[in-house]
Amino acid sequence: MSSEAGAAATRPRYWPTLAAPATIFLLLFFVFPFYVVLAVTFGSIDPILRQPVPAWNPTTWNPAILTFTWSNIVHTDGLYEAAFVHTFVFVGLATLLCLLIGYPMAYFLARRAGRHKAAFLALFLAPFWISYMLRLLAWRSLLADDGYINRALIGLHVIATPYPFLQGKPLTLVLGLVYGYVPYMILPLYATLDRIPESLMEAGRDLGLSPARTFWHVTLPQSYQAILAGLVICILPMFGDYYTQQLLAGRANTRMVGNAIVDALTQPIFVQRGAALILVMLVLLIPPILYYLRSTRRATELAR
Amino acid sequence: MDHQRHLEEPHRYARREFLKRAAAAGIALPSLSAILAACGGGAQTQVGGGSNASGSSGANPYGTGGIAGAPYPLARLDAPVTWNVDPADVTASGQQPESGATLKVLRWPYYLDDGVVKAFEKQYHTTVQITEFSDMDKGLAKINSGNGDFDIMFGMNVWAVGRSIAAGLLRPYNHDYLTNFTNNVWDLFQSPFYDQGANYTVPYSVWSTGIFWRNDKLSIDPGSMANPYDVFFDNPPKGKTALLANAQDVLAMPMFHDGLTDVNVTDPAVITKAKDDVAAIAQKAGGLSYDHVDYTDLPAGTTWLHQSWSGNASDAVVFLTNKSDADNLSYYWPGTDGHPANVDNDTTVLLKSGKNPVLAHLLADWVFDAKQSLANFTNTTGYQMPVNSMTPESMVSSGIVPEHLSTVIVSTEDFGKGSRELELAPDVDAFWQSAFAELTAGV
Repeated sequence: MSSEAGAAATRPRYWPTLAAPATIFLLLFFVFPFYVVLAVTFGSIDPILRQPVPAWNPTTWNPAILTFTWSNIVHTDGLYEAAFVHTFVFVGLATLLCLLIGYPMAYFLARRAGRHKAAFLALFLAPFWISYMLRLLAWRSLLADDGYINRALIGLHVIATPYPFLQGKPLTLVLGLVYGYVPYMILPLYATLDRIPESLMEAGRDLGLSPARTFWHVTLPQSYQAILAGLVICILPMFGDYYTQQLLAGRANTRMVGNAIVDALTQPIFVQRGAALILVMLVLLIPPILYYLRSTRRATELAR
Repeated sequence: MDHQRHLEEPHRYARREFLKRAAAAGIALPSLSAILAACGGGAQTQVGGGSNASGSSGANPYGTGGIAGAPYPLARLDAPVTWNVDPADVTASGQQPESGATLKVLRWPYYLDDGVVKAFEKQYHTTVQITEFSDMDKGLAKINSGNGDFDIMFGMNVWAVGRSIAAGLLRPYNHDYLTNFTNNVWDLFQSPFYDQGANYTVPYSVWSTGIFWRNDKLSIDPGSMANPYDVFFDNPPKGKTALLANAQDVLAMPMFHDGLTDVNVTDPAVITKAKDDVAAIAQKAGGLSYDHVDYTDLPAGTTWLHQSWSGNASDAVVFLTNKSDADNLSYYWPGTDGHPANVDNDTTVLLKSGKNPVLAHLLADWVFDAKQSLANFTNTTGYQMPVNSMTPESMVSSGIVPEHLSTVIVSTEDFGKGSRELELAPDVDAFWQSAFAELTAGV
């Protein structure tokens, strides 16, 4: 009998029941809502109240709206094409910046902050105790035409007239996303970098590696799973984000998929389109999640 | 001129656009015949079953009058609708208010003053429980869900009245309980075109749709212009221009600019041209914001020029950091000088699901008391009620509205001058909504 089979045999029988709360939670708050999204997408519109009528029976599902939505994503000048392009570009840039900013920050906190580590971590996390929405509202005030940032730039003679940060500037939106999501990159990186044994670094150095090559050959590979985790944790919510664009950009030239979904959901005759967009997003996000899960499993197997 | 070129070739363009949008909306089943008609002869450019008075629907299971295009009559100024009333649904006269009851009220956020409600509770020894809805469709979904036993809804849009009656959601009024309504409310609402005899509705707020701007930032005077809407077309301030966030207001504006007085149009070419006009404004303005937050954005200086509802303009004064800055805000309704412009109202309706019909009647009527309507306007909504005591003169003399903003007060005469944006047939509505969706998507 293998050791795993032996362990399974001795495992108490009630163990699977410990998963019951999570299973019930997932059924209630993921599986059922997902089925509602499907039923709405493939449903119809009430002819009197003009509101969506979900089709609960899959045999009656009508794929017309999903087909329409998809064609408006993939065709140039389609209704949703620009939103998807914006989303991939902005999320890609913001995630890259999160990594470039987050990794050194996490490295510093984990390996160079010394006995002040806890204080630095607390200081870093302090702004994030306030809701993201409130912080974005604060940024709106700061970035307004008569806000402190424009006043400072004018005072320093960097610009002559206020820069319209809040009027559809992709830069503002990308920086807003970075600001909102960089902690989700830093925290898993910090947790991993903090646990890398110092002896591994010493071994690298004993073998004649320079600090840069030690980082490249020891630290970075050790933190690969954390980078992946940070990327997934940042990318997933960013793809659905709509309020950063609403509050910091608010123009069609920066519209993201989240905005397209919200717009559709607020217009009952287009709720089906919103539901279809959610389905498309879900399908598009499955491959990176599967890759992450596969990679994690492989790393776990290698570590055994 | 660009506009003329569009108007000269409506048919080819219109049919292609129409098919694209009507199919996209996926709600054209009620008027499939209209789609086929639009595909047919080259002269056919109308979307839907005919949204004009000549297409009167006559008798209908739900009412008489109006025009065809939906399962129920669509009300028009020249084709008013009388809704059928089942006498069994009417609350009997002479009943006492329900005792120990909790009256369940639906309202838009901050759209009924808590002080007015408290005074009502005290007067009738009852409890009022308020639930809010964030937009009309969500409100309809709430009352249609069958949950909640709601008694009364404040702020039902006129376009939602017909479908709510057809869906069996509304309870008819018994006017015996409505003394304030009879005595204090403008005559035109005693029997409005959308509900002859006011069987199912009493009005709630009235407003105009006009031009709201920061006069300290922009040297414009729409009132002196041959076409006031040129302020949006000629030189909209870059990054500082905004329109309202709904299809009918946004697309009606260029139609008004072109001199149309009936903007409930079915012609795809006209709708498409309006969309193109707004897109051109967006181009000139360096992008447009479509929102309903003019009342905060103008005081903050985020926006300088906004298509606005008079109630929002009135509210904006509240959001000024320095009250003397009210001088910097100006509002103009083009209808004042005879230009085409929108004027509108919403309604208060009784809900069939409610358990307290007498109290619901009394609350609907309570807000028409001169003192309560003034408190409702001043303390919370900023939206005026159509009561005889509220005039531009009375509001200015009492210091409630700054003199230069007396233009936000709507008079009964304004309803004679203005146009109405009304409920459209489903496929026409889908066409309008699709055009607006394209604008917000920037395509």
